[in-house]
Amino acid sequence: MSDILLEVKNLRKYFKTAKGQLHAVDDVSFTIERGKTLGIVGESGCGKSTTGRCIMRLIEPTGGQVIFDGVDLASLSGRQMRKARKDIQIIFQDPFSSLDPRQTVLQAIAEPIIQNKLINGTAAIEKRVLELMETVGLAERLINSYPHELDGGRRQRIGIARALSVEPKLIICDEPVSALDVSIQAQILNLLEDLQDKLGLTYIFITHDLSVVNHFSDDIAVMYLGKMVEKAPAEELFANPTHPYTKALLSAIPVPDLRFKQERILLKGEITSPVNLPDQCRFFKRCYMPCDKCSGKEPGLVEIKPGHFVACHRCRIG
Amino acid sequence: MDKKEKDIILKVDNLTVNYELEDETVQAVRDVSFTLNKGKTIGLVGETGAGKTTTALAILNLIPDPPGVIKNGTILLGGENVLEKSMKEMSGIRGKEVSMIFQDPMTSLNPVFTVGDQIAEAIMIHEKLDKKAAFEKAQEMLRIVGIPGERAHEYPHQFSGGMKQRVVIAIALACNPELLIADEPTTALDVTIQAQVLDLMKELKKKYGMAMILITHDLGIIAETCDDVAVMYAGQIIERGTLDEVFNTARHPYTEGLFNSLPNIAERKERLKPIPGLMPDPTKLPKGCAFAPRCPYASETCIDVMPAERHFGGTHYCRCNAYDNEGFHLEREDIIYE
Amino acid sequence: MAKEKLVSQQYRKRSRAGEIWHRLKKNKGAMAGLAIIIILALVAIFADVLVDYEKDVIGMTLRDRLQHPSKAHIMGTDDLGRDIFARLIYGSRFSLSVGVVAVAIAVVAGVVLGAFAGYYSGGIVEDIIMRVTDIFAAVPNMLMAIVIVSALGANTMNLMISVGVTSIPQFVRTTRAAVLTVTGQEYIESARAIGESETKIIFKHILPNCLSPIIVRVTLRVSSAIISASSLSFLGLGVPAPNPEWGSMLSTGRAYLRGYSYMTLFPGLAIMITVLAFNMVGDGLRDAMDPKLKK
Repeated sequence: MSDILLEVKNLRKYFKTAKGQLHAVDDVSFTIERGKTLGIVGESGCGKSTTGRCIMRLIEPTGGQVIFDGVDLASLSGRQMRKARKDIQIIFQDPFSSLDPRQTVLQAIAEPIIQNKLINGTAAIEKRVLELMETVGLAERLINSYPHELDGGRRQRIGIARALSVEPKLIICDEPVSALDVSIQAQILNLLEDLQDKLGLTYIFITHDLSVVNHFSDDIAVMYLGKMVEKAPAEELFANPTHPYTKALLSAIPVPDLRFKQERILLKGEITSPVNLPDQCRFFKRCYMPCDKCSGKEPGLVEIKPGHFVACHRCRIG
Repeated sequence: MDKKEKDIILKVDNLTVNYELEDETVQAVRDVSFTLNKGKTIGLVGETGAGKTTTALAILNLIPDPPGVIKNGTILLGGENVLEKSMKEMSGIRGKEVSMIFQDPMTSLNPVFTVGDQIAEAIMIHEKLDKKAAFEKAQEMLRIVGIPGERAHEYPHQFSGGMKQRVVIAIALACNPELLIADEPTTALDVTIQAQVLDLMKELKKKYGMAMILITHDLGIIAETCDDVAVMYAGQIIERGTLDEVFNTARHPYTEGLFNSLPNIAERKERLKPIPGLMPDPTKLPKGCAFAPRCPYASETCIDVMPAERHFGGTHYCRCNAYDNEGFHLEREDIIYE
Repeated sequence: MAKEKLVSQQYRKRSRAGEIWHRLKKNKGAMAGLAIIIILALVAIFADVLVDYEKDVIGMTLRDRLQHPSKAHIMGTDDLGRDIFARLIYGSRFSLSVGVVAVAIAVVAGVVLGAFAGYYSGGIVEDIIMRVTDIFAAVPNMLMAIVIVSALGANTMNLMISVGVTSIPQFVRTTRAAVLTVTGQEYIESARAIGESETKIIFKHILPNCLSPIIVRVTLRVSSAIISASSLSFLGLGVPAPNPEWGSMLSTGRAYLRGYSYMTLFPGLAIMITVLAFNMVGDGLRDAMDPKLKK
């Protein structure tokens, strides 16, 4: 059994729009080892959520391979894919719209179990649901409650219980705590961490919040306009951010500590349109430290240190 | 004391606001008091349901009535009580002396008018300028917030989120208000855009000498932009003071809990210490300290007796009964600069 | 082995339908409307028992014509000596049945078309369905109904068809909008993520969540269908004589407005009260189903 659980190779997702080809995800590659967490960071429009959904084929990728536990998911038929779904689950961002308002807590958590025919018998299913509720910290008395009766934190726990119910190997967490209050965020993050330790889960943690991803991840990938611009182990990324975008991103986080005097790098302009992109570094127009090569061809990912990859012409030089 | 009085732009005393619904009453704001000096920024920090937005709306006398009822309190703006003003007088104040920016830039702008028209409208309400002159001034405002003046003829949907928020700021500042209330102005924006907008706000604040109330749940933003801080929980201000007082010598267990909940960039692998439980139901608030059920330091007194504001030196106040015991202190150590 | 009570049975809660009923009960207007509808339904069902069709409804006694309300005839008699009260009771059958059947036709056709248009949004299916709907919606209801009735003949069945057809566009639009909204929600993606097939998703998650706006529109549409039916009968294009449809009773009474106003008053009141009742219930349902209303 190989150590690598997921290998993504040259993943692409293009959308056809009235204005042209929208490059949502462009040539993204990475691997994740069993039991580890990969954080994917970026701002709106960078393609991180689309990447997560493409891995699960909730959105069909335009190209590339997604090799999960040795099997290329892109090659599976519809029915085979539905069976494979039980091993990869997803936790959604919005605790308000990710639960069917007509299902009780019991029904919502039992649904994946019943759908995948994992357990038979009402009593046995209920027992498993109660176990899951306890694991995620939902009180027993809430078993017949409806989502609208519960707060965001509890709803998110239902989402986590649903994801766990089929005993997946990989869980994609798509901004699981962004919609929650700070103190609830911390509760959920601790829970996710505990579950990883207990059950040996592998996570892809998608977020725009760098402080959260630092805390949680083993490796971090930074995306910009559909491309991965930097990837490194978490500590290394924060210690030596190399790509100009990564540096700007890190400097932009407001730090709640008065001892920190942040040298802020302010990017000029807005995120450019991801439609009909030329073969050029996508960050070029906003870059504050371009070199002569930068207006030319697109830079590829280069390993500048063991495990630390950057896609930048200038960074390659020196 | 006269000089000090002149410096005060806003003085809120014992503000209490309830929302009286059919079956129950929501105690949104309870006995809130704070002072804001001219040109200073106070951060109103707290989680969802703490009462921050209601406090801001009260200052503009915009609490929907029904079901909102201002039970008690005075809000002195430039020496005059806002709560006693008529609708007409309030219309004169809103936009001119006090402006407000709301959270969601997507829905703050009217989609059927150009941005220039929307800024000009704010100007024409308060100043005696004709349409042409107002529009020119609107274009000037756009330039000040970093948008080319020619774009005044464009519609909101042609702008991105960050730019829309800039337009909203332009509208708010068009008549040079003395006080700006910003309700979570950057929450809906990406982090790099947030940095741009916060930078802009700081610059404008300095340029116009405005006072600002910044409402947010992000302690990092407070650290960067505010002079004073007020921490709200369950409708009350449970701690307030200067930035230095509250951040470096926090006294309230909830404030400590908030800092502990944040992932620490320096000590990345340290386990987070969240505050257990949830904020109480605002229709069923306990008679004692609202934080007691979740407080690691709570005692019998805390559950029975509503804590009064205690003075901790300077402008630092805190509502906590634990300090009845001399020698009580939080686990979090005071931060001392070397 | 003793059968243990399931944990979920120990924490019994009101179901969603129960919750809605509970909220509806608080609305006095809606409850009054509901009571009226139930009474009317009973009257319509048992009309045969309450009045004798041959004698009271269509039996002409010219001797008794144009009598003002009295003990013998509590609502008076019409120009052919028929008891208005009896005719009113029997007439409830027509009004209610036309209203219900017409809306049933509209719902079945409208919901199916709207569901397809919403689910396959962005494609040619949606375009075709919506443009045809637009054409139908552009024609004034009355005109369309007149055309259909003139072509097919004036009888009860054709009245139901014409009123039904003119009601279809509203249901197509409502259903499509509801389906579009629901399909965009993350819980639909969540259902896919656990391996459910598209068909199962449509019937288990999408359609049930679209019911609320459709149900509200049904109740409100019944009331306008009743008015449409009455109007058509008033014009002579609906239920043929001597059947006591309320609208045609209104029409007959027109000639006798001066002096015998009771002939128009009672049928008019009947129509008004019925329509009001359905509207109150419809409004009440809309409020009861709106999850945002309380918190």
